Amino acid sequence: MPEISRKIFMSAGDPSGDIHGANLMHCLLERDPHITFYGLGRENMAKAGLHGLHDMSQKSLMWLHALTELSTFLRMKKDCIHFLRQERPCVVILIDYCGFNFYIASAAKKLGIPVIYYISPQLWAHGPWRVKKMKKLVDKLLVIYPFEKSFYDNAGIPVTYVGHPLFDEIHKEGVDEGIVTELKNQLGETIVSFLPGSRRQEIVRLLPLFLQSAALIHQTIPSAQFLISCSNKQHFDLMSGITKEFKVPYKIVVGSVHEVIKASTLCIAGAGTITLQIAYYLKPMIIAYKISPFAYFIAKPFMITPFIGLVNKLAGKMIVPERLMYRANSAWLVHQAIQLLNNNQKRQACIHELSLLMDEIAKPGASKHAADEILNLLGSKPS
Amino acid sequence: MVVISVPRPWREGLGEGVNCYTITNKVGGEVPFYALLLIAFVSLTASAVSYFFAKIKLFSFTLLLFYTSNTFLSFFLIYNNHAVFFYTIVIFLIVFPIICLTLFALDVHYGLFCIDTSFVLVLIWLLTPIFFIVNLVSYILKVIHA
Repeated sequence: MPEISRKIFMSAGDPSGDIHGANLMHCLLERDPHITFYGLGRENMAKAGLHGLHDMSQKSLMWLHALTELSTFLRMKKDCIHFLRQERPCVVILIDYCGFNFYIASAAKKLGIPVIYYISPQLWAHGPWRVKKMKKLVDKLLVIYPFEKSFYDNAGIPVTYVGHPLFDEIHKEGVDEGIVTELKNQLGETIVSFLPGSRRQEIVRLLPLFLQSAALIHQTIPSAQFLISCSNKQHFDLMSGITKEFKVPYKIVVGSVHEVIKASTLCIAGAGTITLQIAYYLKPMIIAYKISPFAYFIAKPFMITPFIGLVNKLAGKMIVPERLMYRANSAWLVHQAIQLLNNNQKRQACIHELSLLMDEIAKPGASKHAADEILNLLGSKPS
Repeated sequence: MVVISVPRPWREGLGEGVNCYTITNKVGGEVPFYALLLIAFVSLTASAVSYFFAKIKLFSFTLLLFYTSNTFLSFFLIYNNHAVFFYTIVIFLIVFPIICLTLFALDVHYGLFCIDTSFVLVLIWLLTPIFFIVNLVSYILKVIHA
């Protein structure tokens, strides 16, 4: 009997969604080689075999900045709906990026196509009322944080916790110890690394604050050297431009995020998945996030979680220092940094808490679990 | 004898017992403009504080008070001399934000829209102070020209 080819529609907008989407595609193909993927993604998903309707590179935008790309988004939406109507894939898999993916979900639901949401948008952090929308649009949620399961369970949405695909990625990629040793040899024993994030807006907001702090840390601890992680080479010039204004010994490293973290004595990062990567390597960290006073005012009533950092949220307590700022508070950052660099007891306590957390959640296999769940839903036996 | 009824301009009379002319006089005289301006300022501040601390009922009440006092103020300060400007204010600074807020409230309750409607709060908090500033400037100009 000939094998039946199945069409799956996938949509991911962010660079991280693209990586996790590609891993999921590999796992699905391992289990069922007759699947054909269509949809929206970036280079990783394209390499994994996605027949892209649009390339999502350069389309990761935050907040009102998305308005500048409105016509492109409308065209993408139209093309996706047309595809769903014509080709009728057996399932639609959406990966994060809810600003756009909710429209795809809505269209798929109207056409009677099952919708699976892999990597839920962080509704628990901002906008819990949107869970009602999620319930209407999604047939199954595959979540990556343990606390998300109870959040969506309470809302009556079918949900499965599959683990965080970041740990699959870390296990797969590993660390280039040669780069770590080279960084340590170049910069010495006390390395403070800055990881402001992958978005341009985040770099512009956070890097000056970090560098301002770096100058003050360097005054107190002259042996301290600084690494700046540039996850996207397109942002190298931007970072170089910002760093010119500050007189601190620094080195910008493009890519090699894991190596930068592993070589560091202390990491200072914006809130987000990067904090999990730092926690994985059991490095003491400080989480600082800066937004404009107006944005702080607008967002404040919706901040229902007491923590901005994922590691603190996952631990359910403040295991690493964190602060959401609406003005540059480098004094706080410097104070925390010096404490974690000089006070060994505090440093060890932080590492201990991180190791407890990682023992609980840092398990690979998220993509495999997600693939099994998807195939279960489609009614085929997973391997 | 043929009696021809000539209707007065609507703003001069809204029927027995309700006379806008009288109200205008009262606002300018017994109820001074600055009292309405003060109510508008206090209610704006109170609504901002209650919003910040997520006191939704207090926020709704103070915002309603702000819009009521400011709408009256705009009418008495602007309508007679600049009717078109007044209607522009009504459309952009009163009707539009109220529609936005209503849609946001409906979305919060029923999950109606795919788009994250919380962006309307940005619009509200941009337009609300503008509405107050427009009235404040109109009042200052009125005082200067008086």
